[in-house]
Amino acid sequence: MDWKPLVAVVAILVILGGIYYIYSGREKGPESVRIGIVLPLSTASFASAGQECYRGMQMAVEEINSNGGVLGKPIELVVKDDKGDPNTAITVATDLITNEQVPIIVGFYSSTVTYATMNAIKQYQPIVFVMGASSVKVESLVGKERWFFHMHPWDYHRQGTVIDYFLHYIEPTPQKIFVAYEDGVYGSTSYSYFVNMSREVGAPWDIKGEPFKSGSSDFSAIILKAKDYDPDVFYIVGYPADYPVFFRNAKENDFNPKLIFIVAPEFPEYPKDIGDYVAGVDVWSPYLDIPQAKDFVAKFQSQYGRLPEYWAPFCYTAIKMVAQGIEKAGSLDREALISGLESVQMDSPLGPVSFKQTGNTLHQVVDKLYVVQWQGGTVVILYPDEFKTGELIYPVPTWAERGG
Amino acid sequence: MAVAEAWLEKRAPVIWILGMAVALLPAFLGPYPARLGINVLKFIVLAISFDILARAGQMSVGHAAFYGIGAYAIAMLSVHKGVPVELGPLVGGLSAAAVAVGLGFLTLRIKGAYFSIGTLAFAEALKVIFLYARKYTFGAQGIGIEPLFGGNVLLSYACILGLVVASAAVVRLLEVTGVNYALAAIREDEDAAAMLGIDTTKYKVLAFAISASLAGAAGGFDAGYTTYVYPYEVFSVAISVAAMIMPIFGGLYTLSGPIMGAVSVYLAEEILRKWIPQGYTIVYGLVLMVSILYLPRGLRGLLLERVAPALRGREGAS
Repeated sequence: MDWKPLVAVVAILVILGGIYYIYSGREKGPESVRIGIVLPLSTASFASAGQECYRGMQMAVEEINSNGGVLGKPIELVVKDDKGDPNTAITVATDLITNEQVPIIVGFYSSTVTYATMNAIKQYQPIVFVMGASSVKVESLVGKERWFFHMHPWDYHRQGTVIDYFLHYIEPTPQKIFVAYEDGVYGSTSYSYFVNMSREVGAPWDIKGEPFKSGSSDFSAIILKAKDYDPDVFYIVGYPADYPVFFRNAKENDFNPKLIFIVAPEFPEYPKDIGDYVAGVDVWSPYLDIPQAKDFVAKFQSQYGRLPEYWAPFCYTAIKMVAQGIEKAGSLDREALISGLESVQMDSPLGPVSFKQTGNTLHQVVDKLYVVQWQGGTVVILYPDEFKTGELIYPVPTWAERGG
Repeated sequence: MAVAEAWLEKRAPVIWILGMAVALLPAFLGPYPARLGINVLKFIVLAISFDILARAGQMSVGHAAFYGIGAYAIAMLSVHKGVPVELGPLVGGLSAAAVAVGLGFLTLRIKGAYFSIGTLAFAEALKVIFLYARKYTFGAQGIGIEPLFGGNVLLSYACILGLVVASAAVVRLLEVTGVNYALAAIREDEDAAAMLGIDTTKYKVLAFAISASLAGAAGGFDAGYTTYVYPYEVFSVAISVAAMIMPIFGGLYTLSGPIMGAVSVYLAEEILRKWIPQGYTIVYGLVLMVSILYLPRGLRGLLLERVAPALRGREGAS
């Protein structure tokens, strides 16, 4: 008798039963305030940001719960992995809204996934607090909805800062800029904004753009195109996992622009991968001279043994804002919660935060950005002037001059 | 096994009625179960679509190509020409079938692994084409379209369930018209089939076109249901792998196999995701590995070899 099929069934049942046993033992917390979380936790190019965001959220929950929770109950995060995939994100968001019936969903990272999800779930008008999604395509879809709250600056905030910095802080002003941008909603709209806003302010530089697929393992082709163009600034608009690949390929091909400039340069793994001199625009820095930022950095370092990347304080702050919003609402009633969130005002690792109306968004948190540069294994803040801790090194040494 | 098949065949009407009742149930349990139900039904169509081509001995590892064509056909027509998204399954099915007929005459001379690689390359090539034809496709930014039936879940559910019934009817038609025998002969030995007078090219193109039209119809449906189409999603390897794994897991060359495969694989993933928010993909992979290693004839094989004889024995005893 062939026992293999029965062995298979028993093995599968044992695996599933074991998992059920482990997870059914968890405290479900009917007496808790449940917050839905949708983040990319298992997809290579997005997961580092998603995981960092989740770390920040967990820190906030620990602090809130150790201080008595909200409305006298502990906060419980109901976490869903969207895999950086629109269809999965829509499914898990629908689960949170209609099945888990959480009062609010916090999370979302990529613009593409967020756009697709908001388009599909707007019929339910859930309260969502979106962490990422900088594309104005998302803003034009749901920015004016009362149920939509947004943390990250929009494209125009970021490109405005970049252009202002290139124009007024780099000497001599760059004449040729090569923009490598990821070809999704985020990168494409960022590039469009950079080109259009450069024209609007009469910027003197020529721009050449080239899209790339985020998550690729080699960008040599685009590096060689950029090398032919010989730009002053090589500006990359991508996701965290893309940058080290670009830098490695730039070094391999001895591509030496006067400056490599990226979005969000303060991911902890960058320095050892790329060395110094990379500059970029960021929404937060662990080197900010803000008391709450210093406290947060110290706590994060003691817990994880390294500096946090900006998603950690973003998502930490988001959970704190939601908690305060719930307290102000006094209940989880939808309308009361929206009003409660609208009245949130607090100091945070990002500085003083609240939900403000900006552009076409009714509830926007962050609209200020920083420009920083890695120098000697640490980050120097270059912009804005009130937070400045050093000067830009420009042009940066060539790969040959750096040695190694 | 043949006795068990006959036993099941006798009870087919009851099984189908029960199956339809179970398939309808999620539609009335709320939006989330309805969404799960719709996803399962969509994958059933894809799995049946893959299985029809497999019956002709052709293993497509790029089935997302036809799914993507279907999705983009309705998305582009909707955005540029105002065609209602409700026509998605029809438009998607016809577009994919038209492409498949043209492609079939060119590629179906290729056999075995070479055909599989060809389908993979075709899906990847389409992805690149749709990424770079930005004027019409909006590239990687994708196309946002109006929701199917204005977001009415019940109507969407009825639509995809109708598509499943149509797919099952097509399979049944292949079986009663004898086309299935021609495909089986081609699968077992194409040269011998040709010597017996079977027009192998005609039947392979026919299988290819039917298979593609069902995949395209699923894509055309999903475009309106998801309300968003972009190349990395609709031409993704994940879609192709799902279309391949589900019928293999359930049991190939049958109607019930792909259905069982789609239901069990999709629901297993969803249940695991709920239990293990992080790292469920590892367990999911483990379960699939164990299943494929120890269930060579798929779930249907297990049912016929173990469960049906047991039931038959009990009936006999009573």
